[in-house]
Amino acid sequence: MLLRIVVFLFLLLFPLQAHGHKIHVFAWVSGDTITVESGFTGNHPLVNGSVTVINKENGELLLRGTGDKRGIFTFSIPPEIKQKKADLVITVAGGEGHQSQWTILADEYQQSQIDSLASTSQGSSISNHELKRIIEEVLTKELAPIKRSLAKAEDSKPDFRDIMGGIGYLLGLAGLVAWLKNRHPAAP
Amino acid sequence: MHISEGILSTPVLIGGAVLTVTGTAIGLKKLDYDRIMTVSLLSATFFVASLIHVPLGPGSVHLLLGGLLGLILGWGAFPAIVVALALQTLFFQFGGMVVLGVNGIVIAGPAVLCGLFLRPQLAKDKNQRMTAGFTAGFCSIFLSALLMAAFLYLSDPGFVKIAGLILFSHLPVMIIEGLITMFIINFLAKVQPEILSIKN
Repeated sequence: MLLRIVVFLFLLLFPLQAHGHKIHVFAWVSGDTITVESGFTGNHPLVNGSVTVINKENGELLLRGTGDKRGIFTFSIPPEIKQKKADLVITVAGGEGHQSQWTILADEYQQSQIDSLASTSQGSSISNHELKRIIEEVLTKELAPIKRSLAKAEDSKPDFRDIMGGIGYLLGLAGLVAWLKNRHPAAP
Repeated sequence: MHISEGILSTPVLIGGAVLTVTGTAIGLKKLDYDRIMTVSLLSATFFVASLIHVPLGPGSVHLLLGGLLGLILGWGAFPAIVVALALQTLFFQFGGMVVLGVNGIVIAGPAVLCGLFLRPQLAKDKNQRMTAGFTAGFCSIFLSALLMAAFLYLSDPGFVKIAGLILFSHLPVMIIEGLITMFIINFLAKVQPEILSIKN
């Protein structure tokens, strides 16, 4: 079966160059800024992707921007957005009909928790403001790789199981059709 | 070549779905059920071909092999491609279920069209066959890119700027697909001509 050989050759090829055509978006908050990272599956950055930020509740457009060469776009959270306590939906479009989304919940950028934490530490030699800044900095630094790997895990590229599963479905469907056709053989 | 969810307007999505359902119905009707395994294997080939990635410039393009399916299966390529696209959506998250209709007609339409026009050439001599292979690969991508640009434009006229970019960025794929289709057709004609339904 020649076609089997063709399929098999493709299977041999794909681990070397298996990249889909799917954009992944990952955004995180650090202090007052939000960083949006986007790329194609397989660590190819999305150059000059157009980023839009909308209010999840009413779909109002809050912000628009363009990613840089590394696929990164950073913006500081405007005060009016903070007041609204809106959940943000960040969409990155790569032109040619590819786009993807990431949601940032209001909780993620509301600083109230850290504020209250800071205010309990009266009497220490560092000011509340200083403490807050230090905590933020450390947390951002420590959590960034974790958030990143979470995003990666959520966005796994097709693996061997997916591919074999798909091929299995196709062969199974063919078998099903063949069986259905042969159950009631057409009159000769 | 897979359009994502949330980009196209509802009328365009419905239009695409109607066209794809019609095409699939005709394809299933015209399908020669003795060749069901060939259809399935080619569908599997299409399913994995999208993972073969050709790095070019800032973007990335992947193979489709629609032209090959069209040449070998004719109308049967339509259901073969639509089923493979549905599985790609499920397994690889390419495109989406809502845009399956549009993606179906964008990829399967030109494949079938090229197949129907160029299939008679396969039975002729080697040169004609190679030319038909290349043309099928090349034109199916060209027409798909054109259709995709048209659907994006119908959805939002602002996409007109991207239309040129789509055609331009697919130019290398057209050539690569043309060459690959040509070689596969030539190879099949030598080794297994009955798959092409031609007598050698």
